[in-house]
Amino acid sequence: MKTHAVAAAVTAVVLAPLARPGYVLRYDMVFVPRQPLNWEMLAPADSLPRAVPLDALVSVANLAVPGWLLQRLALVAVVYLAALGAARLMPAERTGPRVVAALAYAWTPFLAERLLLGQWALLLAYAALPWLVAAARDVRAGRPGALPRLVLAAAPAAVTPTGGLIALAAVVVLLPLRSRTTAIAAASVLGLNAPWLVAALTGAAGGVSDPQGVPAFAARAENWAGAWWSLAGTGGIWNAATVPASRASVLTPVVTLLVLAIAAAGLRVLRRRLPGVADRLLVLAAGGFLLAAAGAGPGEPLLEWVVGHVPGGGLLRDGQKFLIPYALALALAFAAGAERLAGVFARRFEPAAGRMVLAGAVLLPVAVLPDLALGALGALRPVSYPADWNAVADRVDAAPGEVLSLPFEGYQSYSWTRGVVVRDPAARYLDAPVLMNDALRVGPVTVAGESPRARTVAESLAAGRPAAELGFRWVLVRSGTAGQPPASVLTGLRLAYAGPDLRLWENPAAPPAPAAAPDRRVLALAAHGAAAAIVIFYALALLRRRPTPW
Amino acid sequence: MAKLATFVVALVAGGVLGAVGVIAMMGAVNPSADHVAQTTDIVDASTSVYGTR
Repeated sequence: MKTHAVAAAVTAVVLAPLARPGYVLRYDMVFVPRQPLNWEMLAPADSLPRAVPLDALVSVANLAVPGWLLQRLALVAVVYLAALGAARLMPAERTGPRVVAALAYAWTPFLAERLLLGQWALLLAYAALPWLVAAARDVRAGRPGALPRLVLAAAPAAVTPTGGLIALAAVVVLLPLRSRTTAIAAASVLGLNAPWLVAALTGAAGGVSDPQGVPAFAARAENWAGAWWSLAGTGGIWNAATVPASRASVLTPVVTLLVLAIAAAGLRVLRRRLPGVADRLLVLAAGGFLLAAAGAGPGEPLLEWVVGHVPGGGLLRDGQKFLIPYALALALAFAAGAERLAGVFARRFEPAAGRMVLAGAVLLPVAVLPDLALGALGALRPVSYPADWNAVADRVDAAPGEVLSLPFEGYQSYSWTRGVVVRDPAARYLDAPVLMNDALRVGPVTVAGESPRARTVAESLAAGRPAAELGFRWVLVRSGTAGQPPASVLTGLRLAYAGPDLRLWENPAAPPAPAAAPDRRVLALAAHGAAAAIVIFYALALLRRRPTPW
Repeated sequence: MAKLATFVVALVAGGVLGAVGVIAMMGAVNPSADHVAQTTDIVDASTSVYGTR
């Protein structure tokens, strides 16, 4: 019960601004009032399936829950389950070390930076990992119901390709080799990954990515101690604009050293209390750390080759996201080390001295990262969509057809988001296929996207040729942003709606939308159905057993 | 003796946490000129970049 209270308190402090109405829109985090459920959500035609099956899940959930509430449920689940999962996984009899583990895992630079980058779905994998490791421990111990819990813990992680791969790697590494249960678990988690695998294999976007993305998305030095030391403290995200300013403090690397020293002291305790699992978790953590560090070290040329030549290699370019197992191992070892240190003080002096040490360990993550509190000091402040979005959505609904969203930039800041950069909401707001530019600007560098069609459209627009020639039914123009289209681009279009924030142009000469390949749709549907069936099967298997403590 | 030890441990732990917290918070509310990290508003509303390193 105490651990629930701690998890609730951490969640409330981190997500306090979400008590206000509206939507938190930041970078990749785009929730809309009602996200449509269409084929683009199941298998995007022109881009890599980076949000598959996430988008379909959000669309289905949106049928019952409005977007503003869904966003709050998702973010609360991330922080609450991360804290509670780490506390429950921590092998300690007393509450103190469990609370240390909860804070050490839920109040981290990793969580703060990915939250500020809007990658809430990746954070679902972060929140799920302690539960997955606990289930793996129980599978190894032969406890009944452990296998269903393992697969169900992997399910929220597998809503994105990266999370799905981390979950799959965790299952393979944590469970014993050459075991029937391992084979079943791995096959099941592979099945959870089927939606994005099928979408990637059948999509038009090329499988390889621009190698320029490796240095652009490599781990970044947040202070004087360098990129690798930033990673050691679970920070080091590539985007300077999503780093809490306290990470630049001169003392942060010193605190990282202190945390690592305490964690090193706790390793022996952790390995003794989690026999087999702790060692394997450390192997997983080391692998993740190497992937995270590869782009910011001598491994960069090799990584560039992989990203540029191996289909799917682009998943590795933002390596810092693979720190998730490392963050968990560090939190558990730190808590074990703090418990050991507290024991030494309690024996040498008195129990109260030990409790002081534990209290210090609980507060250390907060002291070194105080600006995660209150939604990163207001960065997670909700905003409201301008009324234009509903008006435009209604018009597109009335005459569905492909939409070209201009300026042809995937990410822009707006006055109504208070200047915060956010992904173009059109693809999720409008019930129609929306072509967006998948090239990404990172400072002065533009990392090319994978969609051949987006590249063709970008070239045409850059040459000032009319958008009407490109065959889209609708052209949406977002006002008040950089890169407004010149008049020549809008030639031949009829203005269907004009508001202060959006203008919608209709292309009277638009040809009928090309029919999508039915095979691809069938495959996408089958993959999503298979993943859903796996989840339902294991949920029923768990329900048939007597209630378990989780 | 024992109570003094607890007091000293609390003092040291509190001092370290306080120093770390105050310095980290000072950085958060008053970032140095060479540190471009920001977590709240981007003043230029015409930005078209995904991020900066």
